[in-house]
Amino acid sequence: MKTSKEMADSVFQIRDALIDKRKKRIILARKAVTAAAAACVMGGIFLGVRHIAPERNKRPDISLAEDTSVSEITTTSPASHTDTAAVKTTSGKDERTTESKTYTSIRENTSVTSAVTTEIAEENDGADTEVSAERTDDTNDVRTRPAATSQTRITVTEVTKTTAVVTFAPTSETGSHNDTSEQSVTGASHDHPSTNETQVNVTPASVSWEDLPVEKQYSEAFIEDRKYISAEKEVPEDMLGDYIDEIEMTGYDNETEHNCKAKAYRLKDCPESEAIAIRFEDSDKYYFYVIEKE
Amino acid sequence: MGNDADRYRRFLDGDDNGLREIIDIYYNGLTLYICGIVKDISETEDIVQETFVKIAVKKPKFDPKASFKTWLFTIARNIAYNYVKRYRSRMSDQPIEDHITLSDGTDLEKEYLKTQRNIDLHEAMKKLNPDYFQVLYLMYFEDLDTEAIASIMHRSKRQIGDLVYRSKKSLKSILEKAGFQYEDF
Repeated sequence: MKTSKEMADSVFQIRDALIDKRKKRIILARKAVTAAAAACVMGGIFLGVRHIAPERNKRPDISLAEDTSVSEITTTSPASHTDTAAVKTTSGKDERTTESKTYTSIRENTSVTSAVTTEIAEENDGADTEVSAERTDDTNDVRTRPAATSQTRITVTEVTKTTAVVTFAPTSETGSHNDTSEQSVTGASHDHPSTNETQVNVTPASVSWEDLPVEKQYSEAFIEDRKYISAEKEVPEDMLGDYIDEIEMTGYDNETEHNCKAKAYRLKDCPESEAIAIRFEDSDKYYFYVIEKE
Repeated sequence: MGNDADRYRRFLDGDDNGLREIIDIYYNGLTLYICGIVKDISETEDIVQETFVKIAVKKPKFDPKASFKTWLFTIARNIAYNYVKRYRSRMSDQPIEDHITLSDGTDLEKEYLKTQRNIDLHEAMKKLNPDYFQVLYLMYFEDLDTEAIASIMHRSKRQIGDLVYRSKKSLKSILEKAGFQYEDF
């Protein structure tokens, strides 16, 4: 039989043992909770990575698609020019007729202005589409025209196939500046605009020489040994300098040669070796001609 | 009584000596009381130890409406009854000599009961059924009133009164059989 002191000692021993056991259990539980939390986090990360990885692999495809769409809405201008275009299209499945008028002139080292009017009329089932586009480019750079492109796409989705033939008939004395360009646009309807494929076939249509303005009809001028090229721009009278001489202008309508007389003038603050002004007979306007550089 | 509550409060505040003092005060009386219930000094020792371990570890809240002694004896009695339920069937298979150390019990009686008259009375009370023993022990050896005894034994005061009457009658019969005069006690 224990004494009261022995009983007290045994009670406190048992108590201390139980407290130690409880502490160990708490530490073990904390470790288990920490391990479980770490495992959960790792599992979450693993699942997240597994879930995100396929999406990452898909992203290049998306970017490619986006790049494609961007490339489609990119318009490349072969030369610096100011361009105003109005397109009226009537689409159909069977027969189609095309009328085009093109006015083109080229000026080196300066801005080039061109206006293209194309009318496409087709007999069809009644699906008519009218598209108008207007644009202005000032530099030689490749320009992106999303607005104009989107309008074109709307047309293309409804038009089965559109072919426009455009003939550029420049006015040239020597014919060295004849320019024929071809553009092609083929339309196909898709769910997403970025997947649209567009091709437009444009064959230059012939423009009669008589319809060209006079500065295009006679695009070259010769004074002594110098050759000047028409800049297709008028010169105001206040910029005129001294009178140089009366010269003979020559223009070429395919094989046919046309001649007329004109008066050459110097320009203020501009040497004769750089540029001159030409006034055609029966005309009160002065046109800007620049020296042709070799 | 108030001192016991203070001791327990000191123990709750971290002073183990508070519980040591409580154990020192109540160990013998609690042992004799539990021994009258389980009739086994070895089991009694385990039960008393379990009682103090429970107080030391779980630190149950003491309700000052009752005395600390009443509260402590109530805890011990509940543990004793649970202990009996848990281990009685298992221990019944073992020889009784393994559980009873007569010399230990006798020494404890001499130490706690002090007089030969109390020892003889306690010996006679051991022959009573547990409820009769408890009510008489708590009343005559622990000096508890009817209300405290009722609280410990989870009975009403009236029931305790009846129990005291019947236990006295039974004790008288036992004493007379043993050659004692009831009136001497």
